[in-house]
Amino acid sequence: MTTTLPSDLNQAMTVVKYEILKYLRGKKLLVFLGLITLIMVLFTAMPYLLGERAGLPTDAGELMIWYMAFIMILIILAVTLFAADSLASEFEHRTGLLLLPRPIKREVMFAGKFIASYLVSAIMILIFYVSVFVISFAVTGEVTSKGYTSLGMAMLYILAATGLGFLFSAFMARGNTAAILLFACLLMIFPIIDVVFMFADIEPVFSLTYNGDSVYYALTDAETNSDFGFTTYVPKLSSAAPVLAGWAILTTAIAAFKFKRREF
Amino acid sequence: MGDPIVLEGLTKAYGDFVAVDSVDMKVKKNSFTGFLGPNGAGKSTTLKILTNLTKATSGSAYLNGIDVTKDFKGALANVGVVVETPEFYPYLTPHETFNYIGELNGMSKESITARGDEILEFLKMTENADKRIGEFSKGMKQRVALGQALLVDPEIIILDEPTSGLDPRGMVEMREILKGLSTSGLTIFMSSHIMQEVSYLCDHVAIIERGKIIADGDVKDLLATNGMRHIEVTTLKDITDAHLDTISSWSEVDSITRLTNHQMQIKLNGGDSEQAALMSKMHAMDLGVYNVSSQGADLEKLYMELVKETR
Repeated sequence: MTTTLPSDLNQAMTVVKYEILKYLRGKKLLVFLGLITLIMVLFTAMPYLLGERAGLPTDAGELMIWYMAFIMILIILAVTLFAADSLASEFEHRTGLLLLPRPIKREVMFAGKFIASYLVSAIMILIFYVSVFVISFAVTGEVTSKGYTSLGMAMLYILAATGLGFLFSAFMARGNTAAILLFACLLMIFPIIDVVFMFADIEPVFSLTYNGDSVYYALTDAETNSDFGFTTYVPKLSSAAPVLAGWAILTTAIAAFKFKRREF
Repeated sequence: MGDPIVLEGLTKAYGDFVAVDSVDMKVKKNSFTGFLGPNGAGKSTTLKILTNLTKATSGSAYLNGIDVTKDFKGALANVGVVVETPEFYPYLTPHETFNYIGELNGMSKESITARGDEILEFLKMTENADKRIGEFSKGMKQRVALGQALLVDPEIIILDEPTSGLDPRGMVEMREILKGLSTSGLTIFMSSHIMQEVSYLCDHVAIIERGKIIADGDVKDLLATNGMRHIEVTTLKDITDAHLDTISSWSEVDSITRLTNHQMQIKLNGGDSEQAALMSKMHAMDLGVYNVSSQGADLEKLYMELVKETR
């Protein structure tokens, strides 16, 4: 049989299609959707159940901040679930023995997997934002423009965090190890380093998590201050965006390079 | 067109350890070539270089005339591969797996469906075509693995330990499937540890030890060249010492052992023509020869003779 091999782009899109099918048929997506639903229900019902408020905030900005209390953890969970084991699992579960001997470049397969992971994480977070936007419109009659800025920063942070997830996945033998490492870095290790720098009165302008916090700070009017005896730095959107883009490019490039050279 | 698989000075080193050491080898068109060697001899590494799972340190590996170390996409376009026991995406069915592989290879949906159905029927997997592979036994998965290798209607199939990990029934079934492929005009290059399997399936064999090819060629020729061809002869009349002395004096005979009063094992000097000459002489002795069988263990003896140790 004589066939013409598809272009790299077409092959990458094929990988995207079947990777997304993996998530659609897996349990991770359902778990994450369940979590989003739970958060929405709890945050909507809590003000009424606790009786501390006369319902949800009526100011669009305050309402957005109310719902976005866990947005950073949601993003970290999304990339941990949908990115961290994407490459490592091909080696760990030996599924790579099926696809890697096919006439497809490793970097093309990498691109397909990366796009699929990013799309799934981004869509999950987008669903959360859109749900909050709908509630905001229903309760306050408007959606704060800061919500859209936060959404934009969230999409960029997911890109950078997915890059870091793929970097760990490219180097680690096991998907679970890569997932734990990514979760620990984004939730604890990097933020601790950020705080250490702040105590030393140095703004961690290079940090992934420090700049990632702009997803939340974009909703507030917080600014860098020295109210408590030391300087609490707040990332500026103008510098956070390029730093996050830099993290995305650097981690993705190293991950792709490692995946291309990784041997069975 | 030249030989479909050609290795030239192929070398793979991990630091000081040389897993594949300047291997030169050719696999003939339409042959079923067994690739033998002890653990760590370099079999899997060689196959992994051929299938782009590992990069060669130096040398070339040609598939259908295209060097896989330089243009792996072109080299692997018309090749089916089953390396070790691949795992499948458990969320896909055999049909969907074939679609995935077929789309990556540029096959049309119609040809994937037609060819896929044909292969599933050949593998007796039609009724499982739309069940998720996650529910399959190892034997069923290995059939799907062979199926995806056949999907692109390849000229070359590379198999690395295709019956590894299967239960005895699974092994026999897989061997029968492979036997069926051996007459289909494919060039098959298969590594295996199982001598019985290689004897049954392969017409050519290459033996690798410590990264170097130590024997390579037609199985019959190799056995003849190395004095490893044995036959068992069963007679109606008693085999006496005088008979044994006479037979052992013939140039076609390397050595002879009486197994019973009516059975002897002869180690031949030479190949088919020498065996034919021996048969004529034995008939002339009027021993009442009524059965002559080649022993399946010949290849194993050759292997044991050539490969002295594992590493």
